[in-house]
Amino acid sequence: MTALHILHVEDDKDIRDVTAFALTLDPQVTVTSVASGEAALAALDGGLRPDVVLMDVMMPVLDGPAALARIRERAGHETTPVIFMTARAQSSEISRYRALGALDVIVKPFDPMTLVEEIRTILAQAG
Amino acid sequence: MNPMLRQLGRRRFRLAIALAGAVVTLLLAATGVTLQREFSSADALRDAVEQSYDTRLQIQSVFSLVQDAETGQRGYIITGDETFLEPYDRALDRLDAQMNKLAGLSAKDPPQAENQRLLSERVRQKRLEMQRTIALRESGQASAAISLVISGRGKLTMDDIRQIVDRMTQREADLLSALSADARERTRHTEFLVALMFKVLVLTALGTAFLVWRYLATRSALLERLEAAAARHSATLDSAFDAIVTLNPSGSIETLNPAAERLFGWSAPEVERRDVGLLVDDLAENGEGAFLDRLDASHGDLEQGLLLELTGKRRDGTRFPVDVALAAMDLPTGRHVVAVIRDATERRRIAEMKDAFVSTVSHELRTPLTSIAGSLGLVAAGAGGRLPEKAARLIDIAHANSRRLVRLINDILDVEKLEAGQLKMTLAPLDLRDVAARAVEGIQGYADQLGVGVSLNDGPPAPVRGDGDRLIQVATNLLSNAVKFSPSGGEVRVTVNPETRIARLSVSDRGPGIADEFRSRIFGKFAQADSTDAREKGGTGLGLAIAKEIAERHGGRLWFESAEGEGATFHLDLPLDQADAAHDEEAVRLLICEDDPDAARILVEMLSYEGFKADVADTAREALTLARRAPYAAALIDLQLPDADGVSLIRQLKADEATRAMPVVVVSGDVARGRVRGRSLEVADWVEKPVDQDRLRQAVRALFSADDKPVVLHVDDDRDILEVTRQALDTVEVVPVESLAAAREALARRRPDLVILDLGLPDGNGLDLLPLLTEEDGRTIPVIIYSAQDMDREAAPAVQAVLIKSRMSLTQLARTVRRLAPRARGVA
Repeated sequence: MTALHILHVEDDKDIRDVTAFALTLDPQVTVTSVASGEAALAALDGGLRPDVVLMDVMMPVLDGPAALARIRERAGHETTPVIFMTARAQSSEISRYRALGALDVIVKPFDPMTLVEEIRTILAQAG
Repeated sequence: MNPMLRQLGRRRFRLAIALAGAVVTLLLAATGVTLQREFSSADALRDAVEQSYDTRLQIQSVFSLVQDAETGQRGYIITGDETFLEPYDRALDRLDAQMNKLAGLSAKDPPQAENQRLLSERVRQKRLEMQRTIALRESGQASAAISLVISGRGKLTMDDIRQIVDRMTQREADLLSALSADARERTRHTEFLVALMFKVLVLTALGTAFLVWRYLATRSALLERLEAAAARHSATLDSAFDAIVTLNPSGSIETLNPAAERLFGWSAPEVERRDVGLLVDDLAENGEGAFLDRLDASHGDLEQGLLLELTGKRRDGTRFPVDVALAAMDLPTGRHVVAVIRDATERRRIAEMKDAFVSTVSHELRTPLTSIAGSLGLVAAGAGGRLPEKAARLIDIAHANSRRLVRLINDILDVEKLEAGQLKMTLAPLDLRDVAARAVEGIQGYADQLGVGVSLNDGPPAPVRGDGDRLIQVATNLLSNAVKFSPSGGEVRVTVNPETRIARLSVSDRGPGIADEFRSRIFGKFAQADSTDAREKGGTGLGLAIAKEIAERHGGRLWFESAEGEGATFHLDLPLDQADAAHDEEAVRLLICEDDPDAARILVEMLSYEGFKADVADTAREALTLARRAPYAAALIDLQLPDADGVSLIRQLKADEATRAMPVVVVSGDVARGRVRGRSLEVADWVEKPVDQDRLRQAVRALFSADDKPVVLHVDDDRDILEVTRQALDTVEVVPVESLAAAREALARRRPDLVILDLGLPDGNGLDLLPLLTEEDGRTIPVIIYSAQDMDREAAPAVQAVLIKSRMSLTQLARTVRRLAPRARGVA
């Protein structure tokens, strides 16, 4: 298992906490949690270099797809892997998010015990 | 048609009226003629009577003149008084004239004429006698004269005269009475005839009057009914909540009901006879062609009723969504259209609200659940530290139920979407075996947890068309039920088998089976065998209802077999992908002659990828046997064979009547050398080993495309149109060119079966090509003009169809091409 730095973007505080807890069950994982798309962009602008961005889709002001577009605009983040988390998981929506440039979509509610494994699998499949 | 209307229009009825008219006319004419004859015969009779009277008068007058003369003569003879000679002379003066007149009157009747002759003779005789006696008396021989008178000779003559006069009078009387009798007879006849005619006339008039009365009565009853029907219909239309517009076949507005007037803001007279594009935006854009063409719909579509979502246009120009239902209305003037139009603004707003609500509920419920289930999952797994046993038990309960709540929300959303018809199914060709494998894979963890084994059979491919995710959902549901109800250590068996028309996925368990009283409810919503069961197994009671709905939306069926206590088997039947199956049957068969089994297998696979079936012969002899037994579309032959040289095999094939026509493609490791050796052979193509898929495809396709598909030359300067047209015309081989020059080149290279022509081209008018399209034998290649401009079809008789780009869809173009192209090929 390699070290994994995850930038987690989620506006719901409880989910943020539970997710951070679940992610850090794996000692190799470090998590930076932020509460909005804008905060995520600020963190990246501040020089943060996460291995993967785990981002909620439905957030106020700047939602997941919009934040993803803004991330892609930033130098050095054209290929930073982004995984969406969403409670709305129609297959058409999932393929739409993929088309927008997301690596994959993790459906909420997620299983906290297998979350890291799931992220690692997605990253491995993407190469 | 209304039965009364039919009666009115009946031939027999009209025939009767016409016949009565004819009879009356004939009778009137006959009566007229008869009366005319009667009148003229009466005239004749009157003339005859008059003449007879005149004749008798004349006879009497002659006789009385003779008497007067005699009286005068006697008086003179006896007295010698010359005054007696006065009446005598007067009578004789008039006698000749009177005699002549009598002769004229009696000339027509021969017996009477004879009588008249005798009379005139006697009268002359009498005159002579009288003159002699008078002359005697004048000469003074009175006694001689007297004795002459007394002698009675004069009396004798006079008696003769009287006799003749009587005879003549009698003759006239007889003639007259005969004539009268005749006339009376004719009059009686006429009277009878007239009376008869009158009776017939009266009868005919009565009959005609009856028929006319019945006609009018029927008509008025019919009119009443029609009026009532019209009143009902117009009341229905007027009070209808929906806008109802009727259109003529070309799409002109015929009528508008009040709801339509309100909806669009136009009054009926303002829009009648105007195009429907005025009211419906989508139809205005498509030009002014026949209404159905503009919708790209067929009469069949209309017969079944069409439901469309279009954009309406109000008088003030505002647009709004409308739901339109179209139906056919067949009138003597053609197929008219009834359009029922409903403002869909509200419906769509509500649908959007509902979508938003469902989406929100889904999100808002899941967000807290995410934290709850997540936290409980972590605690239950000991991530928050080790819990006392009792607390751990409670946490497990909370965790299991939070997960159940998640499933419930998912299922409710699915049911809602299914019922609203919003669960989008993306149907794609797939193998039901893959679906089963994915579901088994997904359930494995759960099965392991319960100690239940899951097995999947290794069956033949089961091609179906379906939504992969949704079918996996169904299979997973069946599997999870089976696992759930299996005893620990039991086994769930999954089999997938293609049957004649269906592909069947079956899931069998050895559980308790399905209770009789539950069978009818098992696919119902929130149906669970008993309430304790749900808690024990954690189901939502919606899974099977959803699974059944999904199966049915695929045109399939979900059903089960079970005996209580002996487990249950659920079957998911889906229609076998017939397109694929049919394709298999129709697939073109090729013969491969190749001794290396690996090389042969690769060829078979490559060909099957191209849609061909292939049989392999590994010796030249086998190849000959196979080729002679069944016809192959083509043969792929390796030149190096164990029992014979490939070249001699090809020679043998070409020498045999049965196999001569089969094209041969040589597959060889050394094409260059092979070409030299096989120069004289009729070989369609040479393909080098190792075989490249694209090269093989090109070689094999070339064998068939040239022969099978009609060739269509498409001339258009718009590349996009060329491309979309090529894609739309999949049944023909399209040669696209962008200019007249390129078209001329293409024509010189290869004669097409059909030409699609744009008019405005960069280097001239498309019509300039027409002279080049006449073959040597005088035949012309058919032409479809597909252009933005219209043209005069008279100008170019070879043109088979003129389609205007803006008005005609590609589908219509394809239809026209299909109609013309095979015919062209047939002539060729």
